[in-house]
Amino acid sequence: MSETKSSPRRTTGTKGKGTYSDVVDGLQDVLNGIPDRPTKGLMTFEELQARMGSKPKKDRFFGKYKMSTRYKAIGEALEAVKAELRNATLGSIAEEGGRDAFEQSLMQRLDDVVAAGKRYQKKHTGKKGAAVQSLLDDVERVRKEIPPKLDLLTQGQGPKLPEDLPVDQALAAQRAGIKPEQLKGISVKHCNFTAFNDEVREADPKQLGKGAVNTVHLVKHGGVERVFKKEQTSDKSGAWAPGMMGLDPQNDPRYGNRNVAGGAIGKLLGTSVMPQVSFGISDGEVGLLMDKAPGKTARSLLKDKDFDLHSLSPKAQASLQRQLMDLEVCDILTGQSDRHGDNYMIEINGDEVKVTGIDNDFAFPNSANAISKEIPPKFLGMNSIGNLPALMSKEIADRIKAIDFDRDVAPSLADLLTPAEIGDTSTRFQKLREHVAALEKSGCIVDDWQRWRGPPPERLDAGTFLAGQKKSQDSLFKREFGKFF
Amino acid sequence: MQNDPARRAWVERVLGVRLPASGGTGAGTARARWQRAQTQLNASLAAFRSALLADAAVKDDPRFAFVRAAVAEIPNMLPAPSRRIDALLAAAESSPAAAADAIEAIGDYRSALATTRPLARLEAFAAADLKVPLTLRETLGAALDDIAATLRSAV
Repeated sequence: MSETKSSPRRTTGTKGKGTYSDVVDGLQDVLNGIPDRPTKGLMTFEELQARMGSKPKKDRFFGKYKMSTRYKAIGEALEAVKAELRNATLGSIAEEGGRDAFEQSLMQRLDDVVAAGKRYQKKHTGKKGAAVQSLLDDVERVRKEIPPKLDLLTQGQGPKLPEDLPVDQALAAQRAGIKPEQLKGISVKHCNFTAFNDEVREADPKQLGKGAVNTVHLVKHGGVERVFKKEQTSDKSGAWAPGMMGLDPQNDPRYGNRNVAGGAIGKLLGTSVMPQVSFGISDGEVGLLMDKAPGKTARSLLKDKDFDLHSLSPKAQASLQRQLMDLEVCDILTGQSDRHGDNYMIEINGDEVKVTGIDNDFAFPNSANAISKEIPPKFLGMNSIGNLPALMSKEIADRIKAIDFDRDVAPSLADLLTPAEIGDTSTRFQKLREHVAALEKSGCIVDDWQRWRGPPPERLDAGTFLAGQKKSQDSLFKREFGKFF
Repeated sequence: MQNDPARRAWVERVLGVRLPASGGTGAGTARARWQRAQTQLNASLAAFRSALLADAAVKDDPRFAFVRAAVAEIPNMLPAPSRRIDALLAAAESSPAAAADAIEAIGDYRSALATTRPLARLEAFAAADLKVPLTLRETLGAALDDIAATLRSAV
């Protein structure tokens, strides 16, 4: 590649800070992971100034300097068309009167952009007019994208994908050969097929483990390792846990959605113990993707004969106690019924501890059909914690007090769970909120896990207090680490 | 070597080893062809990568780091997994049944290659914007055709 190919015609931007290249813009359509120029299609004030060689006329408007409002309006109109194409769904296309009408509407709006741009160029024949040309070039690029994208979405072979799947996601799914039935029971709002698919993965998936219900694989995208679990639209494993929880595993397991909902709950409570997950594609299958949790499973950590809880620093012990109790709170709110020692990870690195609950398939029971209607639920042979938390961190308690379930929680769960499952979550939330009030009265809301002491006369520290619960199922800390006290 | 009886005899006599039956499935020739195609493919990709990353406009673009990372991903755009063909060709050297499987896998891979739009876009981009010929699909496709023909004639 000679220097002459990199002519000024192919570049625009601000000198000295690197210049945005049309070649890289072209690459965006070919390779994944290359970001847009800042406000692509609309130059910044500085870029416009650089292109013109002088400052644009200052346009005082409510005391602020602005670029030509007409120039800006042209750019914004183009951006609006791009966004509409990117976010279009089969449903929204149907609402617009079908594919042809939708295409015509977008093309008409592009024509308007072009007309406005040309009017601007007539009035500004100098460098300003030339600056608008990059917008007009971008219009032509978008114009070419529209028909093939809409064709693929609306005339793809075989049955149609869900109507609310945005165009970009739908195209990624079609390229991967995903069939509509593979998306049964999956919240399309949480699909990230454009970022996680076979075209962008870095190596073949590696099998990590196999359980009664699922097999999990390790996949890598953009240098990040994630765990992929194929979504089961029907669970025929014969596992008895889902039935006890009142779920319908054969027809409507929605395990992926339950994991996404668990992540949403963790986020609302302000804790990182619940992983954030989304749906992706691997080897032509749709499944759940979760960042690979660091550390070891609690079971393998405790199997290590050299591990001694008291060898951890006081700060690390406090962090472990807090996060295990945070996980308990999340599990109670999500109705998690299977938090055994292989279902959460612990990483200890000096003072730093990270606890991650990794499998939330068996959460959000349906109390109408479940064999236990208690809170927390008690399912024979399963691994849920039997009591409400004995201690709770102040951060989570404050959140629980501040949250309005219908306003703050229910909308996040709406496309993931059934109304009955959301209703049960609301009931658990109210119970947890009442419990927060009780903990406050007994002085069991913990602000500082290292310094906190229990009620007199014992004045126990948090670890000894938790380990002193009556039964092993009374708290995660008691169950796993009670033997050290 | 498998198709050269004199050399086979020499090796067996001098080294005291017993080579697998010669020419049974044509898999040895097929493997060599496949490996040659992979080498050509890697060379083409390396040339494309060098040309792109050496382009002054691309180097000067603030997104250069993203370009470099994205270019490293190009091999993953090929239909996966080509390693299945490697394994089947290796197995085919001693098993006609595996040769039949390899022919089928090659057919699948050929179809996947023909319908992979990202690769077509990449080749078009290389030709139009970089003036670098990138013929990944043609290179692999020709090799797959040769391999299938070799295996078919032997099975």
